[in-house]
Amino acid sequence: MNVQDRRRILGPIEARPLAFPEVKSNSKEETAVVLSEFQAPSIQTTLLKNCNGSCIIENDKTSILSSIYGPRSTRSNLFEARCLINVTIKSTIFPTSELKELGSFLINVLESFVCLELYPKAGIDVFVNLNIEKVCDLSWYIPYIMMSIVLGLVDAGIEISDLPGCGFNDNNAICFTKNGSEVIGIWRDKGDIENESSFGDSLDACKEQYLQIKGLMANYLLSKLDNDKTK
Amino acid sequence: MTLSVAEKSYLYDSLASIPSIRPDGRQQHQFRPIEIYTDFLPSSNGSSRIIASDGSECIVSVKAKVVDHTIDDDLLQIEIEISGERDDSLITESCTSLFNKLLKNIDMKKLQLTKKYSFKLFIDVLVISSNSNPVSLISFGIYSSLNCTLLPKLVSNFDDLEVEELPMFHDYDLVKLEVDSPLVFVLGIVQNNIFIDPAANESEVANNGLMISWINGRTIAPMRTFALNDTNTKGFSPKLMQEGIKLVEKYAPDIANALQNI
Repeated sequence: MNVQDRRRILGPIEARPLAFPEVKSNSKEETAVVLSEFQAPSIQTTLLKNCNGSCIIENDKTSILSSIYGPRSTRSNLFEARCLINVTIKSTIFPTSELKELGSFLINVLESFVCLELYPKAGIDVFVNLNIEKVCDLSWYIPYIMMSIVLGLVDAGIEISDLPGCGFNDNNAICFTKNGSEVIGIWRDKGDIENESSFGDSLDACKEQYLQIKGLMANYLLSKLDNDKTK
Repeated sequence: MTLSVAEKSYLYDSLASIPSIRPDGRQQHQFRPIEIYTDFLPSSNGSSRIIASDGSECIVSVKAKVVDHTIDDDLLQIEIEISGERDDSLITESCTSLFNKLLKNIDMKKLQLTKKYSFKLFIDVLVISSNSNPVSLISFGIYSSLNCTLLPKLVSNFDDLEVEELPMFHDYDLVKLEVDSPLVFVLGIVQNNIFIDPAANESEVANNGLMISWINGRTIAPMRTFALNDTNTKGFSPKLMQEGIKLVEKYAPDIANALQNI
């Protein structure tokens, strides 16, 4: 083995790599923002004219727009006794594979509360646009995305068996239905589960947030109904 | 698998009864028998072939490359290919994204060679056939292939910052890679019962599915629910999630031990 040969690859021994001073950005802590508390957002439905239902959920951190197309007939030659759901999420911040994974998760969640058997040989397309300023974990946005989709479905007049929602606590995004007695989805992306009791606490906190969100959605829908009647 | 309405009803009722009766007589925590062959690809650093009793089959290959970790800090790269599915299909992209998150739990310091250089592992997964959800099978394949991965032995100095040099390896001696690899357990939920490793016929009637990850005695992220079929998806009691975590924590060490001893 020739020691000399391998020691001379990057120049003489005295050579030191060039060191540049760190570039300090003017913006303050743009990444890894921890947002634990739920912030009541503003809700607006029936925004877009070309789709069957739409909803925008906004607060100072997020702006999530969902648009629902359908139920519309599918081009498939096969007879489908139930409606097919498709969820597409668009964002410039998160990688496409992660968004597709979330889309697949949301399809499964929607299948458990949308009355699919009422729309045979049909399809429902859900498009979600995430306009997010600050970078957070994708799981933090799931309660808002769920809220936006559920209100969009209501706006489109698609029958759902309940008003489901999602709560976020300790890296868990848990979707509930039937007043929190049933879970329809869980999404956890980071962190160890220390023990069952800590998971139980997180579950209770998520349920509390779900009930808060459900109240917000119900209030919005009732006030909208009143406004429609007065018109 | 296509089951008739009567078959589905019979299966559902037997799985929902207390205690639940599985069609193949398995216990709540019991896996189907699996066959694993390791180290069969001569051009890879580690490889495994895993075959489930229902004919599902998966091949995993691990290859290593020396990289400068100060430039490239992504030391694990996974590619998943599922036969019959496009690369950009929902299931392939979801699986790749899931395993990318899962493999972040591996201790990257074990791949470090010197202060500047590390091994980068390329894990290629090919699912040749899958009759039920392949996630658990893939994780077992990755576990056993990492377990048999042999890497060249470093003979040069660990500290290469003072005197910069490229790492040098022994001509024929290899060192076993000692990393803890995560496992994913797929659980099926039927009414108030939860069971590990649902077979294709059980998946057909299950109300929901739960994916729990585990590494070295710890339950870790990612954790997900997913539908095992597209016709029978329903909500489930929150208590079942805690029961599922308990079940995995109890039996995962035995499974890891069995895989370790191959």
